[in-house]
Amino acid sequence: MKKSTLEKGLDRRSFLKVSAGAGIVTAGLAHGQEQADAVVSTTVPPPPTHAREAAEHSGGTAYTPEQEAEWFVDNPGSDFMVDVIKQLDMDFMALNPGSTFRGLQESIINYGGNRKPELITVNHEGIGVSLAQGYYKAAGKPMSVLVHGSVGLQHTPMGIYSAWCDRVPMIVLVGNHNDAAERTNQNHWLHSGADLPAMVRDFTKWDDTCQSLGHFAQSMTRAYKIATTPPMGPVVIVIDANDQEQPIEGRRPRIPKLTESIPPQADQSALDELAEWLVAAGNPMFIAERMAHGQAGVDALVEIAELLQAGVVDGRARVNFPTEHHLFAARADLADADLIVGLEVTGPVVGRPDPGVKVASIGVDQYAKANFQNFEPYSAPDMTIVGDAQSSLPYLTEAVRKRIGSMRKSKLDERERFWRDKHFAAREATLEAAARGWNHSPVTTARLYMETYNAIKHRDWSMVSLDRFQSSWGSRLWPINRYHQFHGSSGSAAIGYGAPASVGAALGHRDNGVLPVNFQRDGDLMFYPGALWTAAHHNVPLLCVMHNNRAYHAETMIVQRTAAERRRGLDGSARVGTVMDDPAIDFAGLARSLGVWSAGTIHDPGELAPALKRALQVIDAGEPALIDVYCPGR
Amino acid sequence: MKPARLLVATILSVVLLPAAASSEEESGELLYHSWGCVWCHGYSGHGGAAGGPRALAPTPYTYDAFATFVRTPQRLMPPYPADILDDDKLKRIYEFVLTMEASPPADEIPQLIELRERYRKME
Repeated sequence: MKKSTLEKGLDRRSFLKVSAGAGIVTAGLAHGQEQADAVVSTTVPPPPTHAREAAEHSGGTAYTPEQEAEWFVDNPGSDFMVDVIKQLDMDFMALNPGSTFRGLQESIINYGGNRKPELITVNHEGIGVSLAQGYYKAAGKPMSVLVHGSVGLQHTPMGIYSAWCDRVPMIVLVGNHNDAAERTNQNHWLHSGADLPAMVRDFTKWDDTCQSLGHFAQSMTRAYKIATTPPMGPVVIVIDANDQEQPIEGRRPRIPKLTESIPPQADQSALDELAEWLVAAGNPMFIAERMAHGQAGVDALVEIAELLQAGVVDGRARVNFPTEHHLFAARADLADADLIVGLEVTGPVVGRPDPGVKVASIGVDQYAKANFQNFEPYSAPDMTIVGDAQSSLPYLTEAVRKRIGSMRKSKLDERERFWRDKHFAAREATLEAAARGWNHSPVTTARLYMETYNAIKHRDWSMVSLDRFQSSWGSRLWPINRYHQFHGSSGSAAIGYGAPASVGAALGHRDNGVLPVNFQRDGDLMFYPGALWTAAHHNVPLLCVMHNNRAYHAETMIVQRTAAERRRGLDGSARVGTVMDDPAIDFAGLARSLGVWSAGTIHDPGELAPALKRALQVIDAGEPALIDVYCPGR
Repeated sequence: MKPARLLVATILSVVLLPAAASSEEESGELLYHSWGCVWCHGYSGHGGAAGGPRALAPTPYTYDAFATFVRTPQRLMPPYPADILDDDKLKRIYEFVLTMEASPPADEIPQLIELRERYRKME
């Protein structure tokens, strides 16, 4: 039986005609709404369904060829961009959405399958770049960050500067409307720039503004290679909105092959001379900053240090040397050295060495730009050897091994005993110091670290935060012996890096079974609390233990000292502008609101262990957790 | 409240409350906090990083040694001269420091015992 029009419903045009007629009828009956409803309900069929509307547009008959050409793109340039990016084997790309890269975003999702790279949503571009910095230090490979034109890039400079200081590679892709003639609305103008990378050029290694797809293929591949060749650093590539959105014309451009750069090795004759110095020295020492790129670097430094029984100071920008090794030395120990060898130290190897103390450096980092002063004071080591320290160390070790026979064994034994006694005495003193205030509330920072260690010690862990502002209890108490167990600082000593970098590091560790632990400073979290949401949204397991001292505490002490030097205001004026109290911030509530499991605020140290146990259950289920703990300043 | 009781309460509050408030304001514990000692030396006098702020509990210093250091710390901490922090207040702070509980020794804390045993195996 043929269905009636009412049963089938009308097409869109018929519906509009009927509705218009009903409107006239309805207007005539406007004095009685019930009657009007009755008329409409009996004379007007239901509106067309979405399926019906879609059917009307199917078959290509609804568009002219001109419309088809103008409105639809079957072969967008951004699909080609995805092919270029995929051959770089990057796992993740952070973004906060913006129209200048909508073409690429869509291609990554629907052409690239949102894999290699997978898009990571961030609430601020500053989170994106710091997340990328933390990620590299965990994964050992760079990720990219997609930012929206002039407005998105202006949110990133602080994080890019940190990566620059920390010698961390990342690729920042900036969407732009390059061609002024193609800007069709006000925002296109507001969000575009003639030379966008200029704003970060002082602290990026390279940049380029791409004018075509072929240009992008070359520059993206070049950018990756430049960023990951020591000394590493961030690079910026501007991608044009039109290149993304227009169809590929003619043949697809060639995608250049990516090849790995071999880090530069130091000159062998210079290494031989340094080996002579090392064997002849009475108390040689090493200081390493960004020397190790991986466990091989740590192992290489251990080998040469043991060969010479030379103390090693770790500048802690990475793990260069195991904290539990008997040759792990304190910076103060450098005062007794007669030869100090710096390994990838950015600033002076040692401030003002005593006369008679020889200083040498091995590093590739003879690297400075004019404006920002992160190159630190000029120093003139007695010997400067340019070359990648990790790659060069094995050759130095062999040069030392050839000459070590001339040293008396008793001298080496004596050195070993000296360092062992010193190291274990320091360990004993550290344990006694950690015991102070053990049962006190607020929870001491030493107990904060030890309770956390006790909870995770049977796992493979990584401390992904800096511990300097908690009296360095992490490196004093935790056995940080492997490269992946500590990631160092921001590089720039800036605040706001900690939370997003920890999430990035946790992302880097997500699939390798390593538990990331972030001792989160309260002041730092308030810069980018949205980083927690990213962890929750992308199911990134991360244990955050808050060191909540309700202050920018280092600054409180600095203002107090300044007031003291001026003999005024010592009775509390230093709290003005430096504390985060009244009201105290509810970090557990904040975390919950962002989708992160939380506990606290904990005041009683006895409550820490059970809270950590619950947090680890959450993390084992693949989600982040935060425990807020009220602590002293340090 | 009846007028007579209100009068007594008012008189008592005038006579007693300032004294009580003064006593509280002048307590060594409050001074330890308000003058910023707590920021570096901690709530329990546990001190800071190695080579940084010293542990105060239990304090090994006599009052004279304590005062000399606080007045003229030779840039090891902010100086607190007598014309800024008078002797009376400093004594109260010192008396409070003396009351700080000594911490348990490391060899009574299970987590630290375990670390010590680990170190001794490596030694």
